[in-house]
Amino acid sequence: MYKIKIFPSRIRTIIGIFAILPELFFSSCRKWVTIPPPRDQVVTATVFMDDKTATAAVLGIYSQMLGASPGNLIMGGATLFPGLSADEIYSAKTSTVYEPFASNSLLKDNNSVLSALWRAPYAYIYQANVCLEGLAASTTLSAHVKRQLMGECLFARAYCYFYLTGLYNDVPLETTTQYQTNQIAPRSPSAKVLQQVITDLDSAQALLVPAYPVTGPIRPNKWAAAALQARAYLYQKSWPAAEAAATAVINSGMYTLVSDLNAVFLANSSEAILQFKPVQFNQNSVDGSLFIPSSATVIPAFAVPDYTLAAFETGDLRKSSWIKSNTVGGKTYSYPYKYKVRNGFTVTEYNMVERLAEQYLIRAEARAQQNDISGATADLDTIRVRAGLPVLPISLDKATCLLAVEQERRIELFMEWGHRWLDLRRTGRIDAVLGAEKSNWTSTDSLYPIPFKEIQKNVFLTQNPGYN
Amino acid sequence: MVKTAICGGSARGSNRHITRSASCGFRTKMLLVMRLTIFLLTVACLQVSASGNAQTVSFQGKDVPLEKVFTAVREQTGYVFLYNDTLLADTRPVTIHAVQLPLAQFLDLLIKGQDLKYTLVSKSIIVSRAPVNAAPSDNTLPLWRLLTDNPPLPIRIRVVDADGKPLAGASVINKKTKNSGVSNTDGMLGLNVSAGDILTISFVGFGDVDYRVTPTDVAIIVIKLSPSTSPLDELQVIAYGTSTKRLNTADVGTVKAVDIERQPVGNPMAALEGRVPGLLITQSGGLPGANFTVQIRGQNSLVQGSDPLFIVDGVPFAPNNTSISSIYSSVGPAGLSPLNSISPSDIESIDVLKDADATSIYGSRGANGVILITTKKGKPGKVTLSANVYTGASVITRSMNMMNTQQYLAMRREALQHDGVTPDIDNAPELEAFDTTLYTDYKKMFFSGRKAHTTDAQISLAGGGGGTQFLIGADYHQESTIYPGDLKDRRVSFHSNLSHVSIDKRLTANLSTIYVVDDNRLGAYNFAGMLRSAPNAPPLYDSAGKVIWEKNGVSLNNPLVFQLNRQSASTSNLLGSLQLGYQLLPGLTLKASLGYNMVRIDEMNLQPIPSRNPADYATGAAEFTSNVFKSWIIEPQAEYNRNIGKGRLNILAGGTWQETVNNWSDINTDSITNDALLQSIGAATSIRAGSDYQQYRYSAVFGRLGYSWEEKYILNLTARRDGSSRFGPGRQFANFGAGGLAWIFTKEAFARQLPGFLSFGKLRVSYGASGNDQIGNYQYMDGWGSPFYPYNGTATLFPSRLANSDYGWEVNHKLEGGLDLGFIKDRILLTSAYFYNRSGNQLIPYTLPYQTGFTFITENIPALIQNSGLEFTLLTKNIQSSGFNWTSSFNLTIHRNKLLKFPGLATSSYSNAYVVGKSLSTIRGAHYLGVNDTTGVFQFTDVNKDGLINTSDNFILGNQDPKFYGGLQNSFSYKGWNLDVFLEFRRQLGQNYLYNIYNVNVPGTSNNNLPLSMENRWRKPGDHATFQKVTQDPGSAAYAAAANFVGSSGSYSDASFIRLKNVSLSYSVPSDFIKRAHIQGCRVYLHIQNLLTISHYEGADPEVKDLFTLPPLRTFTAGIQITL
Repeated sequence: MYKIKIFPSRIRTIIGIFAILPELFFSSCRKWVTIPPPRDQVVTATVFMDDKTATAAVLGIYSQMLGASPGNLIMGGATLFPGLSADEIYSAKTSTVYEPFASNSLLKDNNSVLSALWRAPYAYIYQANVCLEGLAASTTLSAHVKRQLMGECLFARAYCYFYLTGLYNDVPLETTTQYQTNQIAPRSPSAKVLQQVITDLDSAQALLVPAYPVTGPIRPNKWAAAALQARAYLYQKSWPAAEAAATAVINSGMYTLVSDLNAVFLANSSEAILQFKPVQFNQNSVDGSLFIPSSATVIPAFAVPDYTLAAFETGDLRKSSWIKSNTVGGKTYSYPYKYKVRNGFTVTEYNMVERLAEQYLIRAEARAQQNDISGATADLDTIRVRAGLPVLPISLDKATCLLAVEQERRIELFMEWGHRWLDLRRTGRIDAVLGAEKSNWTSTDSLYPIPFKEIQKNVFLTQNPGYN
Repeated sequence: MVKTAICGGSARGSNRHITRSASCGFRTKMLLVMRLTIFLLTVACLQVSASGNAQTVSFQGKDVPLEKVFTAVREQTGYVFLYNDTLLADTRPVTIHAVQLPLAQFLDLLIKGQDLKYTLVSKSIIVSRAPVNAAPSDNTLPLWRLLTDNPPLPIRIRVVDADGKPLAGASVINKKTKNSGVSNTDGMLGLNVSAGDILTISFVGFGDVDYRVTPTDVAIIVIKLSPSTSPLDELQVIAYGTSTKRLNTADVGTVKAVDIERQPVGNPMAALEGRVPGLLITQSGGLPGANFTVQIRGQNSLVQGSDPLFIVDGVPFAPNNTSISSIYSSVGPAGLSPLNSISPSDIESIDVLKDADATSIYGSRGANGVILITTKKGKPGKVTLSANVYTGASVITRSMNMMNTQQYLAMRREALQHDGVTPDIDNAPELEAFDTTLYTDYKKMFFSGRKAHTTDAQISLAGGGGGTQFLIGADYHQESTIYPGDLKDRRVSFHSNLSHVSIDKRLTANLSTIYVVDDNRLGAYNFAGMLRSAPNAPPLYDSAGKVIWEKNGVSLNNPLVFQLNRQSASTSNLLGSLQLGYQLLPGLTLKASLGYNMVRIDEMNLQPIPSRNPADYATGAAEFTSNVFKSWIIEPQAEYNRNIGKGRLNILAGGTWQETVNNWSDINTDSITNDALLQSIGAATSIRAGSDYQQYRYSAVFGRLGYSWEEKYILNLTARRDGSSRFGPGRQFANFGAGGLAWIFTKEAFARQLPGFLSFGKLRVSYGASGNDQIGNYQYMDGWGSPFYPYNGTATLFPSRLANSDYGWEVNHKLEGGLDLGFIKDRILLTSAYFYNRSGNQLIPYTLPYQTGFTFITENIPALIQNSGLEFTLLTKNIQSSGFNWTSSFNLTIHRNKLLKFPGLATSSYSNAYVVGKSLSTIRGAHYLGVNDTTGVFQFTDVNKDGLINTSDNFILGNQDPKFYGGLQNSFSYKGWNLDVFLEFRRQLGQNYLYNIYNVNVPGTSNNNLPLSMENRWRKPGDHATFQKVTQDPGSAAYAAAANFVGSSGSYSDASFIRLKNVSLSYSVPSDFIKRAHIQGCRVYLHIQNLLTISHYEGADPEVKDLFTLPPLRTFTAGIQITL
């Protein structure tokens, strides 16, 4: 046999090398795989350290809302889909997306409901919640910034819940960022959700001041919170509270009705309590891009049905100012024309979120419900006069007065944020009105389906009637 | 002297007593053999006279003074000895027996034990005194001995390669006595032998040599091994080293340059398809640059990546196999393949590591298998210049005929009639607004008769002498597509390799560098989708050459405007790899592997003013993205080789530090009023930008222990401690390991009883576990990023993710058993493997209800996935004669994927996607029953009889995993001619063209042309038709049935195919002919890719399975290769 000679010193060296190498590695590995946050991101702990990043986090809510594609809740979705479901517009072009809304034949797995009207608001709510938690915990922010930002978050959350409960009735109420509990939260009764909206807006009014934080009504101030609260009280049928809140806004002295109907929706309109400023390229208001056709010779995507055109009283300036038409192939298609600009890089129109006219209508309804008919008709007349219509007779009974409120809301708030659809459901008139206009109407159509995929993901969710 | 020598030798032996008695016996026989010696001496003298001035020496003699030997050498070789007279005074006479031994070896023998050294200078041999301690300590064996049958005596064997270099680790076995040994670093070993014994000498990569010991053998037998020609001995690149198919305990599939070079393809992945069992490659389309899905042994992870790890020359390929493009282009949603930035011509071999034993040393990165790409290196020898040029054309293979205008308009009228709707310009613009006599055949416009062109030119210079070799080369590759316009993908690649081994062989270094620049200009639009356009749609331009956006009240969305766009993707790939090794002590080598890779892609999309609808935009727009992947790696290692007993031990220990960074940025500009300034970002008044930054760090300590006992029993153990930055604090590290065992049973004694035609047999088993961390980065960390849009000019932030710091490693367990057999001297080689992999603790983005504000949270769930299968490779040399050779290579993979366990599946968001006990690619859908003759509507089995077809009526329709797949290559050569034919086959179920048709738009709807086959549709009650009635009313029953059809059994078909993937014919011009032109070699060739596909699959390509994607093209190229 022949064997390699082994020198003990070599063995020692070899063992040494194999023993030392791992030691060296281990000590450095742990540090090595601990990495900092990505360069282009910050972590929650630092976001709420200073005013600027905290403001950026809250403004991110608007950026998310307005950066979404057209049709998402805030990006025209709240106007478009309920507008189709009610009697405001129909889809003039064959469309599998809009047809189920217009014919009130939504299926439980409708994708627009899922992504545009359910997912979107909950994403904004999460961001509001995470900001509220971060802001509340922060001790390094300027007091006025902290108050303003918290107020805005509460407003945003309230605004989202208002639409969620409006479209679906009972919805999960998430006020924290705890996904472990949020993911199994069942639907809260609509009254509880609405109460949360009102509570949030109470807090928001306490935090916010009348002055807007920047030039223009593009972020909520105190009156934006009050105005939304007035609306919420209406839905809660808290008539005196609704009247009081609307009165506070009307009497704030900051807003006046714009006499020229064509100028109501301009940026920084004197009637605007809150406007969202467009953020995307080539965008003015999302309504303009959705409803104004590309030329005068094409069929618009959405047209106003005849029974709605007929609802405008003769001589109503709003019909000529806020509705326009194209005639194609001998057929006339009328389309919403409150906003005048389809698109463009020069921004002249913002998305109107809340305006003074609605406050008059809220107060009119609250007053009528409290049998203050003269007060109610006075408020309605304020709106009617601007539209070139005669004042209402002063001797209306309560029921007629309420119908007058409904009619005035239908016209004044035409194709704005789904008011028509939500009003009809709120007042219980939906079956009577839409049942008469639409052939396939059934009463369960007044609520949208809880998205089927969400029920699959959260077994504690239940479906709305009519969608099982 | 003889006695002492023998006793000295025996003292070293482990079997001391036996050796001693043997030596004594030997002594007594001395006289008996003397006569024979004298006879032999006479023979030797005759040989001397015949050899003249040769470089070899033959000499025999006992106790001859050195001077006499010197004289004999001078006479035979002409070499003169120069030495000081006093030098020889105290030298001993020598006993030597040499037959035609090379001079140097002879001299070595001569001076052994003499305290002498020699130097060869010109024709002189200078002999001088060696340093005192230089005498080799082991030189105590007799220099001369005559061997007899009995008893065995120790001799020494020196194993060298063809160039005389020693081979360390060669094993020698005495077939008779079963004694064996392994050669040391000088190629030496000692063994007890008797005359007549047969020694089998084997070494990795070399052919076995059987040596019969003759009585005349001297103390040192020099055995020269030649490189093996058996496929078993082809080199396989494994983790941190090399092996061969013969000795590997692991499962590695190898594709060599010769098979890659035959294919005129731009992407190395295209060249791999069908060639390695267990490796499933599917291309996403036929446009140059289109991505490939690559999967080794099925899907291991529910939703996380199943991509293998790509390593190029030891460096992790930074983008791995994920698409590198961010702007949608004509290549489609699968995007651009990162591997397109590696030139196939630079590749020496691609090794596919499959089982635990092979992959586990790569730790978590290799959980889904590893693909090692090794680039070409210079070979020692004359420097050769090689040039290779080919060019050719490609045409479309498969498409469908669509309806012409008459047929289309009739179909549309029919749909409106079925729905009871009057045509108007909204529901039927083709009938009411467009010219009903116009006909555009889009198939002709974009597909039929159109040609794409491929050109490739390579040049390389390689060679080297001494310890240094080099290779430098460049390749230009250009591929266009059949679409109209100047659309092409161009690539230039540079490759260099420098390797060095120091004279004392202790230091080794290898530097490999590739730099590739690729410019992909394939346009922004997939024109295959245009097949669907109404055949009478108005042309894009009016008579004045202006783009039409509206025709008679109908706004047009004519995709031809994309031709006005300019789109490009420029990729560069820089990869450098340095391997250093230093032999610190005999057997112990310290190594370091250092590598850097950067892949950068810059994309641009320009939309000039005329390409945009003036109703929306009066200006131009542009988008620019930059995506940079950088990775670097440092791997210090120590390797120790030692012979222990009859075996060879190999220990490898090392560490890895790796970092991969991905930096993406995107700039959108708009409102550019001058098209000439589209590329000037400053000219835009509206700018929007986004960014993304990803960092991945990985570190590990690894070790491998290999032990090969007589190349009969081979054990391989690997262990690794992995750390990954993708896990939260406290969860970053995990331990994984694997073991492999091989038994080459044909080396056993009983193998002699096996049928004589069995030349090789190996049983192999391996088992191991590794972790998978192919989840996104930072998932455990919360973060706020900037969305695209500031609000009112102020920057904004949004929360990027929900963080969960508690998740841990996904774990793959892999078990494999293999049997490799060789028959008739390895002329037939069968490799088979059974694998059984289980992957658990699945890391998934656990789907959250949207009410949480997010879509998922990364979590572990105890789901278990199983992949099992059989793999076979059969290599045969069917005909081997001096003129004609025919070899075949066949491989087959039979694979099953199964979800074993998924607790809570029914209530999870995956309840519709997966079924426990079935494959992850299980298809669930309604059972299609054909068309109802009366209503003309598709019918399905209504399981619960509720009158509705929905998920509760789903059946399990099968799965989309290939049942089996593989390839068959036949190579024929006759004199200078070579013909290679490669077939790829796959048995599978797949979405058929009707899936595409019904999935996109319901047949009958506006601006939606249909294949001609759909003429066979229901028109009136009583019709017995294949297709249901056309409809355009979303409320109609047929419309709902169309939606149900998608995903039903009717939308799946057999998508099996046999593809004549490559035919290659080449002719090497005879050397006597070309020598006059002073060139070494000249080869002309014809390569055809994708010549023929045999399949029942209708319409689209059965691999791509999408009617509206360009299928892989058929390419014909011709080329010439010249070597100088």
